[in-house]
Amino acid sequence: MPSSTSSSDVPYRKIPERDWGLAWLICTALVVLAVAGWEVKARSMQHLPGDYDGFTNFTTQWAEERRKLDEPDHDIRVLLLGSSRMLWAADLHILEQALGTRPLQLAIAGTGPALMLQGVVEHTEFNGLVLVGVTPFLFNRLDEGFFGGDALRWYEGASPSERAGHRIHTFLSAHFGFLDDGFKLFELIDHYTDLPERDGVWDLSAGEWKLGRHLADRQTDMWAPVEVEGSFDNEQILAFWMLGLVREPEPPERMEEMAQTAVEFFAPLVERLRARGGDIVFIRMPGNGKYLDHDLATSYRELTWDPMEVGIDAVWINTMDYDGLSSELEIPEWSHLSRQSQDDFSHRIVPVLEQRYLEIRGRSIHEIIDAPVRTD
Amino acid sequence: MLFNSLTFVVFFAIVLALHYSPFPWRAKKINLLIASYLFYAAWNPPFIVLLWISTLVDWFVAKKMFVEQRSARRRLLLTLSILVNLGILGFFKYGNFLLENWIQLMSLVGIEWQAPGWDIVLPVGISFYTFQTMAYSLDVYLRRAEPSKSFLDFGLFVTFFPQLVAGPIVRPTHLIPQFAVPHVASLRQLGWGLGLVILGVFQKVVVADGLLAPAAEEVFGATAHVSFWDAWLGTLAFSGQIFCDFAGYSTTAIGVALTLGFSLPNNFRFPYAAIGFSDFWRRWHISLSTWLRDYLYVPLGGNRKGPGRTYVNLMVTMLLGGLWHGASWTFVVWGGLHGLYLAVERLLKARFAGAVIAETWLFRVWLALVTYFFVNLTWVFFRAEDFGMAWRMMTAMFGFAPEDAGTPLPTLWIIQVAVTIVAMVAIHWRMRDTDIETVVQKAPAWLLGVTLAAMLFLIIITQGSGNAFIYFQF
Repeated sequence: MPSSTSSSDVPYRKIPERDWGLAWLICTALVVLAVAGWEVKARSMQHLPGDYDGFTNFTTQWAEERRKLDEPDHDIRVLLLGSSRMLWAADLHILEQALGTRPLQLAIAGTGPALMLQGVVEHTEFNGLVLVGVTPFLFNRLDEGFFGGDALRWYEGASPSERAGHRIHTFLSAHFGFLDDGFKLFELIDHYTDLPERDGVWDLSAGEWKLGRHLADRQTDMWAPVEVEGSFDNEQILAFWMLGLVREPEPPERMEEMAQTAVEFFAPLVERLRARGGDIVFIRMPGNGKYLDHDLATSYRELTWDPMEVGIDAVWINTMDYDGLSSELEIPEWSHLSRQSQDDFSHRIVPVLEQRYLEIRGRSIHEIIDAPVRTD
Repeated sequence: MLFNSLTFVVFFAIVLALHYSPFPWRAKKINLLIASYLFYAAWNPPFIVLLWISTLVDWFVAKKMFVEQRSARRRLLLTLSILVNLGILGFFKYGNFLLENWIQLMSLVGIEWQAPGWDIVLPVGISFYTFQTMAYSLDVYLRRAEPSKSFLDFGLFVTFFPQLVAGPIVRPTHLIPQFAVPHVASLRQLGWGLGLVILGVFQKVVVADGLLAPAAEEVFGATAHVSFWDAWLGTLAFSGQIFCDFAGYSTTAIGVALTLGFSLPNNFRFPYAAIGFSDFWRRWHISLSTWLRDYLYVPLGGNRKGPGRTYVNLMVTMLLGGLWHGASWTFVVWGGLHGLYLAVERLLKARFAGAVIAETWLFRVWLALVTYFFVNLTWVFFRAEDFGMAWRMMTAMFGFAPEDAGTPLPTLWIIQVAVTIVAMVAIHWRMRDTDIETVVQKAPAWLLGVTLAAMLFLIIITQGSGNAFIYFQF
């Protein structure tokens, strides 16, 4: 009987008798050279180090930020929620100077704020100010949206391996631009290859494309090449938006139904947050081009925004009422603010916020911001 | 922990550093054992308890069984081992499946029953390590092997991280003896082992995930009919994806083990150059097919109980092999089709034994093409989410797609699939009667260096999306 401890039965593998030292020396030298060249190419195309998130994955950084709210000794007083328009509109440094505290950026692209706000209200003791960006239609999606599900999964149950991998990737991303999602080999091939297609086939180059740079604390800035209207990268983004814009305007009944559903969902959350000293401000985020055309064609303001404002006891700011917060801003791809306009928006929104809050609530927002943190 | 993750790169570097540090052999084995538990726990820490249960039960059962002379007691002990192992597997892997089928069965006889909401998470790699530990008890029961003398060696056999979650399924007599004596890789083993790691990760990240997965996902993700060409391209893409994904894992596992000085068996031998289905199963997932042969087909009687029983045994083995892959009837059909192919092949071989035409080159090429064609048909059931999807694909592949069938594949992906699949089949044919070591043995060092560099560079710039290997779910 063969023994489990006898090595006589072990079929050892054949090992090619080659000069492996030389082979690996050549390999290492070539890879170092090739990666260096690839990095130079990446930087020349504006894929720069320090970009920590992707354009198909907004989840890991969000989960890391969200966990800050669970830390027992956090001093967070202002939260930013909403979708990508809030992400691209906020300069955290400017807002920190204006508000006296650094906001926590929890807006997430392609996702309404509903579940994120619900999580904050129901599972934390947060009693500060929540600024919720309202992007027409996306705001009224009360589900996980495009990235919310993954973000929440990462927040609630990322494996130790995933979290460690994220940290290593973050470290490497601080030094290498080629690690950018937009510079992955097959992303480049998909977007830069132009081949004739059969009828009815979707255009690969109209897939998601890099729109911003995601820096520390989820400070998000528009990617410079996209700011240039008519550029390749700007056109890629517009082509992607068009996939969602070739739809018929929603009928009035649907618009009213969306408003009612939002009131039923958000009103109790506002009430609960206010009961413990916090408050919520809803801010309609600016848009232009075909997005604005769609909002106007569907009468979003009259049929959805206004009923929500009436039905939810919160402070509401419609940026379309302020030229400085809408028409005077640069929105190169119809939906998100350029870097300069992000700065302008961040400077201009705080005085409006202070004034509107005082009008509606009869007190200063700083009473909330300066109140003691409640964590238990 | 995934091989194609940054976490693994750091983990592997630490393991290698510890393994080549001047510790005594026992300390190195303890390091490897701890590393293996960390490797597994990095995915979901609580499930490490399942590994401990398997380890403890099989260790004690085998020891008792070895000294026990009474047949009834030995059978009882074996039953205990099988019950525990298959019980864990059954609960976690087949619990929901059995419940769903029970509900459907009850509804057929008019009983409407509301099942409690089970939310069972499938522990990664459970099918692999369950079969591996069962092989240990079965070997001792069948008196094919003696039990291990060292609990540490046995624990390491159960959890050895390179092959823990997706194989190859290693036999105790193959791996445990390697732990008994000091093993540290020579420089040649280290060089070749790292080469295999690069090759395996390249197959996974660049070929499976980068070149083929998008087309396969697009076609199998379609909710309506697709055209004849799209259905075939999607299926061919999946045939390449599943091979490169799984063979990539096995190659990486073999390479990782080799860098530590251990030898794991081959799990694939260029299966798309198979001539006939028995040949296919000598080349595809070899460690599973031999496991099923030795621990299921042969104990069932194999081909020793007459032709009729042989066909039944074949079919039972392949049906259960299908179910091993996943708790779904589509996997059972996949296994059933392979069982049917093997049975028909056996029948034809018996009927046309000695036919001269069978030895001609042209006929063998034709047979290989037929084999590849029918294997691809089975992949439809393997990949489809349900029978509706499988049916739509099959009708399209046999030319019965409706006129308004979709054409979801962009030109670029069609080119990627066509070029990759032709290249892959050509490579399988070139390598059919040899092995990679023999080919590498003839290559100059500079060419190896350039080839490795090209693969490594492509891995780095592809980056990968951290997709799990397909076989992790099995």
